[in-house]
Amino acid sequence: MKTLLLAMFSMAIVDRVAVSVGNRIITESEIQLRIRLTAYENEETPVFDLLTRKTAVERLIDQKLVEREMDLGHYPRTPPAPGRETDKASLAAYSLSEADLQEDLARQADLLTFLNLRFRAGSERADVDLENWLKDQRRRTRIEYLEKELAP
Amino acid sequence: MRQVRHRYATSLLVASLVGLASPAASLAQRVVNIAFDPPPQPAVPLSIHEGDTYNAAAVRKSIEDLFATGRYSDIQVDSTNVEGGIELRFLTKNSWFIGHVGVESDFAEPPSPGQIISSARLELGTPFDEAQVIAAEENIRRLLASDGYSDSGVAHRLDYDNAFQQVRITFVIETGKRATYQKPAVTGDTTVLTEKQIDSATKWHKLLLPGYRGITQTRTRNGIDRVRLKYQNSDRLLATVTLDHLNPPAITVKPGPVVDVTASGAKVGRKQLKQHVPVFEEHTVDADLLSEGAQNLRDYFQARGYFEAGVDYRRTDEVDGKTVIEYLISLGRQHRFVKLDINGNKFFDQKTIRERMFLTPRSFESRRGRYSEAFERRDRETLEDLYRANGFRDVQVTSKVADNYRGKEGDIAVSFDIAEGPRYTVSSLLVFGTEKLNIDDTLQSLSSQRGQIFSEFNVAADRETVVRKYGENGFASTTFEWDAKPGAEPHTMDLRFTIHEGEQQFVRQIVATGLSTTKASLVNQQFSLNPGDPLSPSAMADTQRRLYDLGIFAQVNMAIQNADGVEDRKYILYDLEEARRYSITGGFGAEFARIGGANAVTDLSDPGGSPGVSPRVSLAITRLNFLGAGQTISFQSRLSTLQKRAAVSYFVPRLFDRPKLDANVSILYDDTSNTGTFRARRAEATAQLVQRRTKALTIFYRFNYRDVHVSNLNIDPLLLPRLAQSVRVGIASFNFVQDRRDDPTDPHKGVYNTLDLGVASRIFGSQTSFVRVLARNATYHRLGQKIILARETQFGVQPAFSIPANLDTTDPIPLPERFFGGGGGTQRGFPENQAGPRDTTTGFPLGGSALFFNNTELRFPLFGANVNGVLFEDAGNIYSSLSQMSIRVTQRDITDFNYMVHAAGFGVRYRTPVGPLRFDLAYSVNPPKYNGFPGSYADLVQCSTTRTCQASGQQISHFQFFFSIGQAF
Repeated sequence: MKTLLLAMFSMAIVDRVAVSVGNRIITESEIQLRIRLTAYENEETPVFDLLTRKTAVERLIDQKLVEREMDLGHYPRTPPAPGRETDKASLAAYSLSEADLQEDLARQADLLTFLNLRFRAGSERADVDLENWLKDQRRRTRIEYLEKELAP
Repeated sequence: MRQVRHRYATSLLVASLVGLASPAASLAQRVVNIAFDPPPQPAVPLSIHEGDTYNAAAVRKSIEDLFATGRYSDIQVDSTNVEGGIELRFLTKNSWFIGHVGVESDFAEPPSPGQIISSARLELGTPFDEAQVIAAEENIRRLLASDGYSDSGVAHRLDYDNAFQQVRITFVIETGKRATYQKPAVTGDTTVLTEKQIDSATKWHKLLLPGYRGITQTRTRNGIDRVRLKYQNSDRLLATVTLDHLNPPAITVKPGPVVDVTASGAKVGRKQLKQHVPVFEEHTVDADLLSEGAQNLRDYFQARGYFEAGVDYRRTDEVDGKTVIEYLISLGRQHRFVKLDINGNKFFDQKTIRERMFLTPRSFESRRGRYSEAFERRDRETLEDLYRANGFRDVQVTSKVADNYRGKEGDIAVSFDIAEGPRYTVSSLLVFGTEKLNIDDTLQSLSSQRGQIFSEFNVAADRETVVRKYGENGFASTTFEWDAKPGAEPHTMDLRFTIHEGEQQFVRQIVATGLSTTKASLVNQQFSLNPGDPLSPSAMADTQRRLYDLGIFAQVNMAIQNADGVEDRKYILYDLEEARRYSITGGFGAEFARIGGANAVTDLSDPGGSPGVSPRVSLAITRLNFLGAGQTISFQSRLSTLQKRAAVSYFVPRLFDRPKLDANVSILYDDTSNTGTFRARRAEATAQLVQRRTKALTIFYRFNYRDVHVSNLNIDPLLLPRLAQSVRVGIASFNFVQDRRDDPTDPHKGVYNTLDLGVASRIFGSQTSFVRVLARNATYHRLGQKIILARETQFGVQPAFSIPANLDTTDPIPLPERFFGGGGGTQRGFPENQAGPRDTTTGFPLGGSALFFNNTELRFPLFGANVNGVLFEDAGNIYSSLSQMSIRVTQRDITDFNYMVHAAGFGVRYRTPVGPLRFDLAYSVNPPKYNGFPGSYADLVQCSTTRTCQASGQQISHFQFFFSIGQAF
């Protein structure tokens, strides 16, 4: 009994599926990471309220749709690599690691590649085309908010 | 620094609010144990392992990989502090997939269970969502309502199969009585068609009976279409007929204006206009359809030699409820396309080129040839494509038209000049990306090898070969890219193929559902794949084909469960719908022909046959899938004035699990008097093995044992002791059938050969011993595009051996075992079974021991696509014996029947789904003369005893006619 109680009190959820996008997912930890990365890049204090989490989720959904398309189309991918000089202490303050930052930069590079190859980034219609494409992909993809409160 | 601490504290607070452990809290903790709840281990390796230092990204990646398998609908990871570190526990919730979808109902069709399942739109093997079932119920309700079952109760039952994570869905349907139509309430303009006319046009009312028929989707659709057609026949092409409500029916009609479609400038019949102007069929008038009509009419005239024909149209606005569409035709001169020249072609011969061209100079089939500028342009493109596909990248094709060719007005000639140019070859081929599968053999077989022709066509074929090879080995997502650049040598290309192999998938298990009576072992025997094999779509399709070939399943649905899930082992699902086990078919009809000796019971005066009708009824009962083993037991019977027959047969497909070996056992009782000469009552048992050696070649191994009683002989009473004997025959035979025809019911090309070799001997319990050889060779050739030359030769002989001492050695074969022939399938110069030797007293046919028939037919189109004509010549006869066989065309005397009879004639074939309906009229050049007896059999017996019989000279009629289904051969 003592062991059981000890186990109950020491048990914690470390991660879980928050949203599924087709056969990809967004985990709770990924949402928090997204918020921390955004806050770090904007030099703001990370806010984890529902609205911010919802915004992060929608951004991650778009990201998942782009990643899926890039995988299917064999688009060239950017591997995470050391980039600009970073202050480890300030990263730690956001609970971020250098790897988190490098992966995020690689993701941004991938998005740019996708925009360039698919929608000719920089052209007048690129933004509109991307938006329409994302809308279309969302319509075709089964998106399930397992954490109901995150639904738009 | 203070600020940083503040931020850190905030993130901790929020993380705890959403229920996650702090990332920092787990940092540097060692993962001592990883557990799963429920316990089964996942099919994919995790990114975090026991002994690792805790890593949030690795946990996240593990969740992602697990979810991507599609096997889980939710995943959560808990951590617990244990001695030496933490324990991670993956809490998973299974996904479910759609399994068998079935129906429990007890109402009369339609709709059929298949239609109901189809309307549910639940796809086998896809993720299951209960909301889909609710939507499916609604779809089913709508379907039932459209078939007259409104207010139906539709519920569902779900059975969860944990072993395969699939849900069996059963729709339980309760309906009342099918609703009937009522007199439709018609709204709208009823000046063109009255309500009564509309009611009548729907044909929803019972024919000649009071009341309306039951509602079905088909009747509803046909009823509305018929009303629309009625408007169309009144030139109301734009009429709209809408069913607003089904029960009770409410119809809204809008007749629209009269649309008068006319043509000026050339004579075009109403039928041609309807055929070529699509507004009649589409019930709408728009610019596209009118232009299409103009194009069709232009093609129509160009095909008739008006190669410069121009067609335009003019549409007037609606005035007084009438719109006129006038096609303005300018025909120009009528031409003949008399000559087509092709020059400069070295690589392809004329035949290869011309069979790809639209342009056709005049011929027997096309009196004016086929020419238009559009066709000419299209042919230029076709030829250039042909050459490019074969490596001539710089080919140029030009054409010239010469009018008034050789001074003849209206004659045109076209010449095509082909500048082939150099042929490009492959200077090098590099293939990248073949890492997981060794495809060296496949690469050796590619068309684009070094030194071979370079063409996009070849590359496309290579792509197909490579992707298929990967597909057969379980690589479902392999992609193939290629690029080429000029090689070092002129007219060469360096080729590069890049293959993205994707992930290989394997069969986890094969799951068959939907079986209720069929033995699972029978189904399992048909599987072409085993667990662990690469997941090959072609092997899956092969299994599906084998299951269909059993003939016991109405539907075989096939799917990969969780097809989109990222896992390397997949369940293959076969959802089977067993066919109805009992089928009963009945039929009635009549044989209308010159029937030999139909009136012979009371009168022997017409042994050559006279026009007659033989009505017949038939009944067949078949029990499929007997004992669930895929075997079939059936009963067939036929009753007519000429034949009474009943047979029971038992069919065993795939004997000893050999897919190309079937067995059949049958017993038969047959009472036939169709030769007119005698009545044979036959009791027979047959055992047969059927071996399908190749697609074209089948061998039958057969043993028959029969007991035949002969009676009612219409022959000279002096012959009775010899020919009236009953006989038991045991005969073993082989029958080889080689069928390379394109369409067995109506062949256009190919070969059909059969060889039947049999031995009847005392060894097999036979009272008579003979050998039977019957060979047949038929070939079919196209003469041009539409004319077919068909020919068939049959040869048969059956010499006797071990002849008992009491039998006549010249004629030892028992009467019912002899060859009988003549008629629609052998020699149309005779009525059915009237060829060959005859009794010299009564004139009735006696059959023979040898036969030879040769038939030649010229089959050609007569009217439209469905009516064909046939000119035929039949030669041959039944002969007493092989030694008596002759090609002599004259009958030596009235007792000589061993000569070759020739007949020629004309026939008409009307194409139907079950084969062509056939009418043949034949004229026999040299029909046999013979002695008949004017009187009854009693008269014959009486005069025979006193030897006072008077013979009457008779002859088989010169004219014969036949009416049946199917080509003569």
